[in-house]
Amino acid sequence: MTGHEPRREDARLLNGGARYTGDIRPDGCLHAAFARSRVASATAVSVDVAAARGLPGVVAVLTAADLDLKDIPATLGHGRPAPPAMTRPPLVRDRIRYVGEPLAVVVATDPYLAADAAALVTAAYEPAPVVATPAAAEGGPPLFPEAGSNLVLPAVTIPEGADPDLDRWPVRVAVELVSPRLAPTPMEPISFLAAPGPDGRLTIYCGHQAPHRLKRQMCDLVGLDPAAVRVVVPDVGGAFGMKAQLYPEYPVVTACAVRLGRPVAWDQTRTEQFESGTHGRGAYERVELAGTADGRIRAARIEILGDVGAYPHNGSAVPLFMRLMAQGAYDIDEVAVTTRIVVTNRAPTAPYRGAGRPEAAYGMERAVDAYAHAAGLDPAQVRLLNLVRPDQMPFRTHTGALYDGGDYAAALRMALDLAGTGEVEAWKAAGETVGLGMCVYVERSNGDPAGTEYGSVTVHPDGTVVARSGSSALGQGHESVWSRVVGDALRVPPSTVRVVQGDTDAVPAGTGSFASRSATVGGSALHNCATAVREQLRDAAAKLLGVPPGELAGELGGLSVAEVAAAVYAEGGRLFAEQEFASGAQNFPYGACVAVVAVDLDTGLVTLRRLVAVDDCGVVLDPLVVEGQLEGSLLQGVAQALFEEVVYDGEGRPLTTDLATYTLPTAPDAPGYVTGRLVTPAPSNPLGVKGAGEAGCIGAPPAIVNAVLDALRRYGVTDLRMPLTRPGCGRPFRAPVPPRCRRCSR
Amino acid sequence: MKISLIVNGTLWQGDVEPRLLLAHLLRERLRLTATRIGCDTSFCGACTVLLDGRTVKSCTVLAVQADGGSVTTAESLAGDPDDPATWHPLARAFRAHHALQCGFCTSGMLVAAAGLLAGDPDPDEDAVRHGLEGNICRCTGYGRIVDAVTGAAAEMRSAP
Repeated sequence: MTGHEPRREDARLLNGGARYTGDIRPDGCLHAAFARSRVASATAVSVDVAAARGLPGVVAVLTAADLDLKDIPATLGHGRPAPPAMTRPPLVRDRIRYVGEPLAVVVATDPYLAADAAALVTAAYEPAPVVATPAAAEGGPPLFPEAGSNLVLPAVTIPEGADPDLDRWPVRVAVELVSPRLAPTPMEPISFLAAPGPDGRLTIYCGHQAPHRLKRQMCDLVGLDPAAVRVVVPDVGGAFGMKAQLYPEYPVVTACAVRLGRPVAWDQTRTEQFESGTHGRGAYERVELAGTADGRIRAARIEILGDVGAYPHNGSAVPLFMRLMAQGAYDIDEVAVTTRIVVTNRAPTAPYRGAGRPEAAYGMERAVDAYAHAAGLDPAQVRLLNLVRPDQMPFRTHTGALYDGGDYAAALRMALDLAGTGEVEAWKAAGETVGLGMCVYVERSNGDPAGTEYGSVTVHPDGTVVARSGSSALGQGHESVWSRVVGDALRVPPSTVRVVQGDTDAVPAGTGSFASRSATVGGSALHNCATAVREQLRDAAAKLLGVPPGELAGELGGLSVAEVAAAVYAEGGRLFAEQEFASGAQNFPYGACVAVVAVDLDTGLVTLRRLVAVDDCGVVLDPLVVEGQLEGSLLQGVAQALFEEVVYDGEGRPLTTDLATYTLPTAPDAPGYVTGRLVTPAPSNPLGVKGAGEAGCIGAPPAIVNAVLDALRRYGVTDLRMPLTRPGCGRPFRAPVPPRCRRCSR
Repeated sequence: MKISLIVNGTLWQGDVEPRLLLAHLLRERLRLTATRIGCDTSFCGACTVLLDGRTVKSCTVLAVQADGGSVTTAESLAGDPDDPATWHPLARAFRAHHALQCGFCTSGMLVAAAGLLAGDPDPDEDAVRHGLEGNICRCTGYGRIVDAVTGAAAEMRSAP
């Protein structure tokens, strides 16, 4: 398939036909609201719900003592166990560990009444010491006394025993960086509806990235029979990783619906989302590089400190993703990466678009710039000297990643060409405060190489086709792209292919849509199934016509799909294939990003004059869909560099609790995007595709910060903290002069 | 309180609590769910409707404030999903330019853009960007939305 086709989903999304979870409200639906902690750390908690229970319209107010729910296990992600003492009760039992932690649930006939009642719930408690920062976590008062410390993962160095001697090299640099916490902020907040049916089964509606996993979790935590639970994912208003998580509200609302025998809905408010997460990023890194005076980087020592908030769950995987990608795009003789993960009295973290790769790229790309300046060399030249070369592919990094192909230097050269470096030099010569910064990144998609995805293809007797996928869409356009993948392999018009996804009753298995894995494994499963069914069709057509399959004239010897299908079913046969596809490998998209900025020295305002991204995500299934993913991701990266940050005070209180205090980019903030594309097919799946959803937010932040440093270096500025803003002010960076915000004039 | 208002050309009368937000009236009572709620501080714009021809965020308007008024929601811009010829030019342009991904902000974007073009049929890029500043999209990076609105404006100007 080549070229863009108008998206099938758009017909309903643009004409009032979209249906998100919050649009689904069965008759008699009750509404849940949560009473939440206002302090970050407390013990001997006792929750008083009497006043709330007395309000008219309130059906139930329940605490941990009222609901018999299992604790959510602590993990390091991918099911690897974290310290077992760090489990999470869905509602606070006796200890509060972050502001926003749910204390009790109110179920009422009306959402306004539910909120009224939740506001009447009070808690008595003993204040406990607050671990407000990851730096304070180690050696600080333990959040989980039984665990003995706040370490989820004590310092572990890979490769084991690696201890590079950086002192023997003439050029040495060290940078210390923070990738601040971010709020993923899909435009649809979380909505969750559990609806018992007359048949005794429970249907859960939720815009979740992994419906089959959600079903397993609800059955496990609430104690339900899997045969009696169905999870439906309707239209989803964006996710970015945040909707792949197990929120404590899910088992609580599910248990309420089961106990009350009535539908119960929970619509998360945006403030709840900011307070109780999940947040992304939150990594602290120190990168040391050493090498030769002519620019060859020979050794790297990297330290990572990951903050996963109050409860280690999927967020614990992020520092490990970061570790995997810490070597970046470079061939370095010796690398050692030491990683620690701690809990803090903040909202839990989880993978957010990029998940570990933006953090890793930011550290390495800032350090490479520092190296170039220390050696008195051009940052582009240093990169070109050290990038992994095509003839080294596949390339095994010291951290265990197996880069699967590509021409990293070509991407950088193309990006620099598109950025117009000559014009930038002319602006500088004319005295403008402009700067150019770059980043070469390697992305890692398809998180768990052994992870499978379910697909099936059925050709019905009338010749219509149904494709079922365990990977359901979050806005990427699976219905359009899957129908084309299947149509192409079956040699039928995509319009005859119906795509079924996001329903655990209709799709027997599934892993989910995250880690930029959908096209790789979900698309490949459908491609393989459609290819198999095409062979079934051709065999049947040949049999009908009495010729060997190899001698069919044309696709089906002149017969239509419907004619062949009707004959197959008339004889009791069927046209069907299913597969749990695993690619067996991660794939490694890569690219380069170049930013050109102008800095207003009076106001500190950073203006992006150019933002160039060259990406290689293998074979492109639909160019406009891929371009849209790149542009949207780039803007999230721009915002990360310039102004997005989740901020806590010294008592663990969140200061960014809504869209007034946490700035999201709007249309005037967005730059024009200049993009280029290289294509290196992935060797690990039949479509040759690699992940396309996360590249932009990996490349943009280092390029922009490096560009601002380039502009300000002549004023002696050699380090800036991301985002390039003042705390509490939604706009420009910490300039050498007092900055003003163009929005609020502060 | 008893109120009456015209919604998408149809009279609606009913008894509402004084604190009920227009957005909730539209979604919960009238079941017009294309008006969506994405925040609680009037920043996201997913709930944008026209009130007496003016673009407003319906999460910041009490239902009682709309008493006697005329409300236009995204539903009024809808055509037959199966027949693009019946779609609003903005909807056609949004699809042609791939100006939507998840679609959650799209209703508000369409209404805001329709309100913008009603006041300025020929906005330049800067006017479109600032005209849509009250509507947040987290998916597209905005460039394609701006292109779609500019493209639709051209089509609407040339329409007889």
